[in-house]
Amino acid sequence: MHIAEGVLSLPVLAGCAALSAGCVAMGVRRLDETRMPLAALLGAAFMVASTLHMPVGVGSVHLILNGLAGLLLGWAVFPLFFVALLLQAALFSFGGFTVLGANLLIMAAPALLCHLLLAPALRGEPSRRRLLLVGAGCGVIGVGGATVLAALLLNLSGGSLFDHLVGMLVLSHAPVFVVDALISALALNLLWRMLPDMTRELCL
Amino acid sequence: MNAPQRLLLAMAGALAAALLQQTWQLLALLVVAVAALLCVAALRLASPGWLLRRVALLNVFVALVWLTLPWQWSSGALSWSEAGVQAALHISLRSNIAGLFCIALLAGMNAFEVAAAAARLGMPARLAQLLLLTVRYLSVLQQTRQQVQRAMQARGFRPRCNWRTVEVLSLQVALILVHALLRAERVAQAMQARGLAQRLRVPAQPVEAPGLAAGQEWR
Repeated sequence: MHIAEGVLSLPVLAGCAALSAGCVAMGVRRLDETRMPLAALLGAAFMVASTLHMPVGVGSVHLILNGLAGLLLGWAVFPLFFVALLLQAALFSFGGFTVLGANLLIMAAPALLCHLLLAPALRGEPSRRRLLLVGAGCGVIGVGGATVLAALLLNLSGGSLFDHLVGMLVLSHAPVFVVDALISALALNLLWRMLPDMTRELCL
Repeated sequence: MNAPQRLLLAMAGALAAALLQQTWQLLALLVVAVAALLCVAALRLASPGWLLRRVALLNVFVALVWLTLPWQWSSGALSWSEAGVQAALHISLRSNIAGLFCIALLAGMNAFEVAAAAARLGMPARLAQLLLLTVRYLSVLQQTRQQVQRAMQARGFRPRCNWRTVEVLSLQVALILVHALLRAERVAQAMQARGLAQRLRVPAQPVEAPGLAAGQEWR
């Protein structure tokens, strides 16, 4: 989910840039040097995984997985999504340099929320049902939160002028929302069964 | 021009597009951006086909904006709104200016060059390290993804809109993550072997150490 260059108003852009710069600094400070390769590998893994497509109707839906990334990475999602968005803006013109802060906030804030809300549910020996629920929750909070934030920022910038644009945004993300929740649920369950210790260590 | 200067100019172009408010100013800047793109095409820094594809992709969104913004429902009929047209015009100008500058100035640069350029533009050292490491592992995991995908294709998997596809895609996601985690473990071991990792951490709470308490009998 990217807001394109030129849509948001100046105060919104500046506010988002300042806020996300603070969050990136916080994320970098919490990332100690020995965990740097782990964070970079997981960040790259999520970038690669989000290029997977699922055909739906005539088009196809690509995964976002920001909720699942948030659950595993915590505060590190801010610097990692910053890296991903910077590369996407420079190499593919998805998003852009001035909306980087806004797009970062849209993607990473719900992801962090997933970590704060859902990671405590995985304490002890979570059952299969609980893993599936937490994974689905990641998809719901991640994509749902990102859509709500994007709609909010558009509304702050253009008021009722952007109503159609917001409607289109919500409509086009409805299939992503469903697919992302399903795949996050199954993927978290599989990951937990394949590497229980490492996954637990990441989440908690 | 070297890579950091090109990246800085592309960012400056995007910033200028966001700051300018008058239509004529934006139009003037668009002329500069188009000129930059034509220069790149003339100098053969990138293939014309690639440039055209990038510009077309940029304008898919602009087309969507024109389909939605200028129209308004008023008393059951579609009408043309002046404010909507103005906003759509500015959005198309701004996204084209920023996009064209980015395409023209960064033409032919790969992810590693972009990352190195950004790192040299005064990014905090640890963020720069994270950026370069991520780019470094991106190609590794891209390969993993291709391997996994080819293995699944060899077993006759073709993505469709059904439950089986959801299962297989989540398996792919989990496998990519497992590869990343296992590789991270190997990297951590290699770092430990070189004495880089696992610095001693001072425990947050006083630790009970029986040997130390024995000294108190002395007093």
